[in-house]
Amino acid sequence: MAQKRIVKEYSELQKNPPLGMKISLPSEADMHQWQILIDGPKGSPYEGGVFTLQLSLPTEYPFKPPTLSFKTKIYHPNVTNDDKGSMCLGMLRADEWKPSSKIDAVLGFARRLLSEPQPDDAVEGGIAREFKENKKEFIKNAKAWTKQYAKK
Amino acid sequence: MATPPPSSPRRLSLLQADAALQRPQVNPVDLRSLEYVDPYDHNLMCAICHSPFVCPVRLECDHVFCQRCVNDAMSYQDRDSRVYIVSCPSCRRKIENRAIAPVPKILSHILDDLRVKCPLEFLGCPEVTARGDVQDHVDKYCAYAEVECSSESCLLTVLRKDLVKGGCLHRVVNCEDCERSFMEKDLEIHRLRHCEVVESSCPDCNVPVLLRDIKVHIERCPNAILLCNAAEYGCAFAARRETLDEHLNTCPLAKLVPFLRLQNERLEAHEAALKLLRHKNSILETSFSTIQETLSPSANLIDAPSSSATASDTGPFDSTAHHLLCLHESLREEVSRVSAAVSEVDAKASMMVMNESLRIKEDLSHANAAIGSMRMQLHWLMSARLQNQQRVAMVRAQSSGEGLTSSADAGSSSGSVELPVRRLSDSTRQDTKL
Repeated sequence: MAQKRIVKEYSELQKNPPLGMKISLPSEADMHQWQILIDGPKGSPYEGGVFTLQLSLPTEYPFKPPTLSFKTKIYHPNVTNDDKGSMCLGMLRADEWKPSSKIDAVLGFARRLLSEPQPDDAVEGGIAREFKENKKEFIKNAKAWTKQYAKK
Repeated sequence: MATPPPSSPRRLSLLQADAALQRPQVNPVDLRSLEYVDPYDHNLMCAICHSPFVCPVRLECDHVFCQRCVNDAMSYQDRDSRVYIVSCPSCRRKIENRAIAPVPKILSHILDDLRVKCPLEFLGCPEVTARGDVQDHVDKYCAYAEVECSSESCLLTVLRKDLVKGGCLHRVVNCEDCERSFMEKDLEIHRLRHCEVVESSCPDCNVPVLLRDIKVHIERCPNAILLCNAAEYGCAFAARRETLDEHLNTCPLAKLVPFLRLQNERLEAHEAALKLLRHKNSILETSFSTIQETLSPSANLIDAPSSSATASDTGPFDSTAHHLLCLHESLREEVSRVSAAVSEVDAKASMMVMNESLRIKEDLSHANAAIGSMRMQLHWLMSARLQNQQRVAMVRAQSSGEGLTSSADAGSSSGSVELPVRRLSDSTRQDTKL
């Protein structure tokens, strides 16, 4: 059943991709690994960059939440600054996830998080503090990282 | 009803045999992988499997899912948590009672009515059916479903449409031309589509062509005799493919083809519209005639005296109904005019009554005032008289005590006593009152 639903959601997203996103499968044989390219939202310090994300759907999907991680380094309070680039999304936590949630919603949420970081729910404390106390510095750093890592 | 012959098997066993024949194998159709012909309402989609519900059930919180999806969700939740508690996959409300409730029948009916393609479409089945019937279709009717071979000794399956050919279709036969061996059931397809030896010839150029390629060849054959594009509009030209192109450049009819086609389409559209209008008109006519029939008794009464006169020419009115309608209209106008007049008169009368009553009220108050002043005067006169009498009585008592006095004296004295009592102020007050 998982497979069928994933194929369905994938084809729907191919037909109507969310704004500023490109979804593809790195390997045609594996429907559980998606690659997503997100354009940095306008007006955010990430504007002009293209970020690669990986969406992994567990075999138990939709009963278990998918995981979303940044393959491109990004200066953001809600994304871990390591090679995993895990993203902290409330709706993706095991106890918050609902089988009726759709990937479309997950992606929309991720994009919104880029426009509006949530420092109170941060995984990178340093960046969150900077975001709260010295926004100018944060924007400068985020722009610099975007230029360095997320060039088109 | 005819009784069955004594040798016939009992009815029940017949039924069973019948069922066995019709359901050679139970092969449940996976309703989730069907292709739905029309877009369906997203409310009919299970939030878990994202297909229209299959065997929907309702949880305590009124959320509906497929039975299997709910079971899966619960078993996953059970595996994760040690406590025996599950929650709704949509609203995460705790579910106390795992007994799931059925959904209203109407939902099942709506789901069963969704149009789907036959799951064997990839084999060539063109059937589109309601989802509720698709299992039946595959089990009993679909020509592309696999059924047991009609030969009892054979365990293989054939497509239902090939069953009518009779005999076991799994015998190995050789293609006459390429000498490769096939099962009989596959031979036809092989010869039509795949065989590389079977030959046929093009009807136009007489060149031998492989049977499997003949369709492609006919479309391209340079010798084929083709008709002018404007053949349906009257051009009788027919020539080989090569020379046709030259003709098309010069043929005036061929150039008109797009225009003529457009005209034809418009004509057809107009005809369709006309047909619709005609239909509408006939409906209106029948309803009009029924109206006329209901009206006819009264119409006859009216027309009866003048029927002989109006028999030849119907006068200013097309029909009795028209006449009646006119009459009705004029009567209605009359009635409205009369009612307007009545209301006018009513207003006038009420105005008059009001004026009159105001005047009368004024008069009444005047009269009241006059009566009041009269009463005052009367009072004054009465009191004066009373005083006078008392005085006379006192005088009499004195005179009887002192000596005798004449009654005439008493009369004159009473008149002289009265005058001084009258005050001037009284007379002035009466003037102001009146």
